Amino acid sequence: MASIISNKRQICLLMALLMVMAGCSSSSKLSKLRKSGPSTPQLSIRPKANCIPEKMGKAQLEFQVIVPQDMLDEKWQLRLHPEISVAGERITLESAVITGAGYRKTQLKDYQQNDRYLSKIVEDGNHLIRVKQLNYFLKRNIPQVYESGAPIDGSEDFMSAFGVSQQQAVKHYTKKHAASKNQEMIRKQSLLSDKLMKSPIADSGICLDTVIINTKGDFIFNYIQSVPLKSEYTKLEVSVSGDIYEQDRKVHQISSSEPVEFNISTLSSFADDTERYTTQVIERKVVQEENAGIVFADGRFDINPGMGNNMDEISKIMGIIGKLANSPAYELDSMTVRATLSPEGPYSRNHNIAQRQSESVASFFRRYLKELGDSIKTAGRNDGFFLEFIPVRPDCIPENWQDLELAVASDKGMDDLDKKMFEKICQDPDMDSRERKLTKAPFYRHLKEELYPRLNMVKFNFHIHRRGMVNDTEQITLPDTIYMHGVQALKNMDYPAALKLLRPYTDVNAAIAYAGMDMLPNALTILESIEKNAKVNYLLAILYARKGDEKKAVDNYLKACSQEKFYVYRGKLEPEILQLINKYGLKDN
Amino acid sequence: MKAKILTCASLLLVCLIFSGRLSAGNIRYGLSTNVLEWANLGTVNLEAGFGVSQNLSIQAGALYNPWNFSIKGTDHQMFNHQTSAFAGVRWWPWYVFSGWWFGAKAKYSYTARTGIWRPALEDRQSVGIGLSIGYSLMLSPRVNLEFGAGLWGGTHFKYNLYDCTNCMILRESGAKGFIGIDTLSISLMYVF
Repeated sequence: MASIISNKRQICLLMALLMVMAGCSSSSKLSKLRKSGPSTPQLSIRPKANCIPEKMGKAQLEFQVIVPQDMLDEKWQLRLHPEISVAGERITLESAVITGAGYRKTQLKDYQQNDRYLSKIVEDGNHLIRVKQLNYFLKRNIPQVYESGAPIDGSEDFMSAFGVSQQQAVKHYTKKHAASKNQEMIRKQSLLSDKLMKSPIADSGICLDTVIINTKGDFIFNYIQSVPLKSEYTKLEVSVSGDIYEQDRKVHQISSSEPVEFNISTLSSFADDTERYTTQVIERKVVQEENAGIVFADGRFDINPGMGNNMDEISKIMGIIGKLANSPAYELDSMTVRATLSPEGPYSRNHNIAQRQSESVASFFRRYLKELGDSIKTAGRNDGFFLEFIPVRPDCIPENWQDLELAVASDKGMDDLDKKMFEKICQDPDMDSRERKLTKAPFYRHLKEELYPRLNMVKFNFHIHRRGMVNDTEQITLPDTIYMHGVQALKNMDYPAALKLLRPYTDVNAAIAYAGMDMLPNALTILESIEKNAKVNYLLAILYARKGDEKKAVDNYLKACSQEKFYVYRGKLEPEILQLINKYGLKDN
Repeated sequence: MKAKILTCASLLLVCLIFSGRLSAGNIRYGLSTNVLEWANLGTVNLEAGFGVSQNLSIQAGALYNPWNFSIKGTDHQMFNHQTSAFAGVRWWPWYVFSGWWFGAKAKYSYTARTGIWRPALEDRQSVGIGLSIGYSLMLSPRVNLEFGAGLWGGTHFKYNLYDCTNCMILRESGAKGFIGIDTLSISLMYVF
């Protein structure tokens, strides 16, 4: 017995000693890390390749992170934060977490504690009610609950003969103490979870979460991350810093590693900036249309500027006339004033009204043109002389069925059935008969209140010609803005937008847009069909290399180098070409 | 004899009262019988309750035991004759015929017993009031299992104690007051 006790004592002593040693081991590592000097353990990065190609606006960073042995301990968790420094910006990449086995064990214990707590919370409310007794009570005293077929959720409240409701019964048969205790547990759940799980296991925002069991030797892992690029990103500097956690507290901050540089090779850098032009045929004569919602008083045909919105509408037309009168590019030949009305009333009456309205408006603007001409003459210009002689022709559409049909077709207030009925009515050649039928339709009120007012307007057609143009048509050359927008999108590495704009063109920029979208066959077809200068040959080399056709890639690269020596050096910055140079021993000469 | 007629009449009255209420819809009334009284030498017992409000019911009932039993090996008899009738109210904190209840009643009882504890014959007529408490557990929409206990006190206005049924020597006589256990019940109730 004594020997057993003695053995037990020895085991406890040994365990205590081991724990102290473990503690000593991690604290000695910490003190070593905290010392600053050349022998202080540091994180380091080893890139897979210093040149990385851009594809579809992104670059795939690939490097190894070397974590020295002194930063590893089974009681620690390392949180590594890689960072990119580029064009004055700092971009944080996804973190990597390296957890010691002991640290993870503690985390899992915390999770188990939390789960035990959560398991005590009753999710199903029925477990907090004496369901059998409640059902018997309801069937005995409030049988309507079951007879009606309504859900037993209190949404319909039936009563017993003594005025006790279903909800009161549910409340009575609820285990009040258990329910309030459950509520308290739910209320405290998040607080307690934070307390119990001091260091939760991350499940998002990280690219690696590994548990190490053997802390002997350096830990090396591959870090791969796709990074979206901008046009100004030609070089990226990558470094990694970190923190060491023991239990739930940070015990050491790891200083940043030496930065490693990555060169980005982008196809968009080969975009051709040369301006493109397009030819357009223009006509001497142009007609400009404008509508004005000029309203007239009942029974009157003279324009009243103070009525409704007339002042604004008239000012709008005057503004157009004024611009045309002063325009160096255009000259006003004539105007047509066309008054239109809705189909309400007999056609003959509408014709009379529309005619007189258009004559009134035409007369108004003839006077305006004369006044404008006089004011221009007063200013010393000769061109004002012609303004008073510009013909202003009145015209009318007594019942504007055409615009009404268009308005109905796009109207959201009428359903398909109404629109079909309207179409059928409009097939009647007699307009008055049409209108009579419409008044009986169920949607007539909507037509009258919403659509008819839009038809009462005056349409203005300005017949103008281009100044200085003799022929009826002429060809002019303009910068192709669509193409230039496409090239800009290409430079911004917005390949989808660039392809959309450049697709109609078969030149190097279109080929680059296709290549940027990884549509290699389309890109190669274009490049093979155009003149093969050094740039084109070089692009062909890159694309054939990506496609896997090394022979054609090498041939095209050599052609590009023979055309321009620049590509001999450029090729070394291109990962695909560099690979070919190394594989086939391509020399600089 | 008079007592027997009284008892039968009250039982009939109870049945008549409740038979007229058969179509009362959700208004509750119930009939119960105490199993423990049946075990008490076969005492026939019936209690009727009528809910007048959510928390109040009127109770009335009767007990009757005319049976004689012979004791083996002797020429003595054993019986616990009883004719009792009571009426009272119950207060239900939650709802009539569900859960806890507290009762109060007035009771008349004629009892003649011998051979149970002693050979002496005890013969008495009593009136009194009682208080009781119990719990009614619903076993189904129609059936309850009730547990109850009650005390009562009053006066034995006629009391005689004889040495035995054979000799009928009067040992004690006269009125006296009392207080004691009225009932211990495990009852089955049917609720209409």
